Amino acid sequence: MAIKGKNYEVINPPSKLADRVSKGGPDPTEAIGRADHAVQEMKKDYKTWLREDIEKLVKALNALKAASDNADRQKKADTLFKVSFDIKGQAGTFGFSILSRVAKSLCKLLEEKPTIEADDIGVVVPHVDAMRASAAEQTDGTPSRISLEVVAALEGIVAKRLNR
Amino acid sequence: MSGSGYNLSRVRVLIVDDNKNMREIIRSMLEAFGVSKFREAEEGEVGYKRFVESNPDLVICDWNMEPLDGIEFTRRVRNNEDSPNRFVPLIMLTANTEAHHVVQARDIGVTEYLAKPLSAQSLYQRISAAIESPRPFVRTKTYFGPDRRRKRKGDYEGPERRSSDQDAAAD
Repeated sequence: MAIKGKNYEVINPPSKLADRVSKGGPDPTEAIGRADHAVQEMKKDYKTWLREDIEKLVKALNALKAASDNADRQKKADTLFKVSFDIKGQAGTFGFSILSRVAKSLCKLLEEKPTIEADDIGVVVPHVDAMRASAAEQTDGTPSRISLEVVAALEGIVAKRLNR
Repeated sequence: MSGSGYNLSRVRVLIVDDNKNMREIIRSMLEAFGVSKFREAEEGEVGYKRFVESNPDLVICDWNMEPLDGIEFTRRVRNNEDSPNRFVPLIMLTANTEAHHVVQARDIGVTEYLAKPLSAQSLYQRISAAIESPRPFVRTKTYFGPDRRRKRKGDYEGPERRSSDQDAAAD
């Protein structure tokens, strides 16, 4: 329905989704509990996926180190970003909050720095090391004080690097 | 299964995400909610093809995908002539968490924005919002999609603030 005299039209479409939904399903708390349980069940698989992601991460870091010039380095950094981005999203879903935060910090550097230069690798390496260590220990649940300090330090280094 | 919640067994969902593991996580959560009809795609180009073929009731899509990302996918869903349902609820599920990402997704016509890490509760809430409070759609010269103003106050008496209203007032 268009509104007279306005340069826009407001439409109230029928909801196909609502038409397909009826009552009589599990209570929300029960449905959410089941889904949480399903995620817990997948945690074993995630540990395998994570091992594979860490291998990809290390491979991407080695490729970045071997890059011949800025253009090549940027291409390799994009690959590293993609792996780190996947880890950022998935690790948190399975309760690996530190791993997710370190991956987020690395993504921030790779995404926001206009050009990844050779000396940025010195910032990338400790991120990858921290992610490897966190994955090897498979530290989910409440993070330790030391791991929180490490991740805060890494975030600080990235902030400094982006501001200089 | 009989309770006071939603029966989602007839709902058809399209999941578009380039990460196979993430698709599996989303699917497992949805199955736990009672959804059983899925289509999947690993990027936006294939995702749009599946969207046209299957005309799903709900779409969950990632942002960062190649060759076609979630933003361009959403643009096609909302604007293409061959789109079978330009009003479909579309949840963007992404690890892009900065405010400017949310604004960009909103401005392209995303219905709900959900930041990874994903939790069962947040996914359920977004689906519930899409069922219970479907948003009106707005068409302007430059935008077609869900109304970006979430709160509508019937008793609001102040000036209109849509840019098109301001343009009209200035004429």
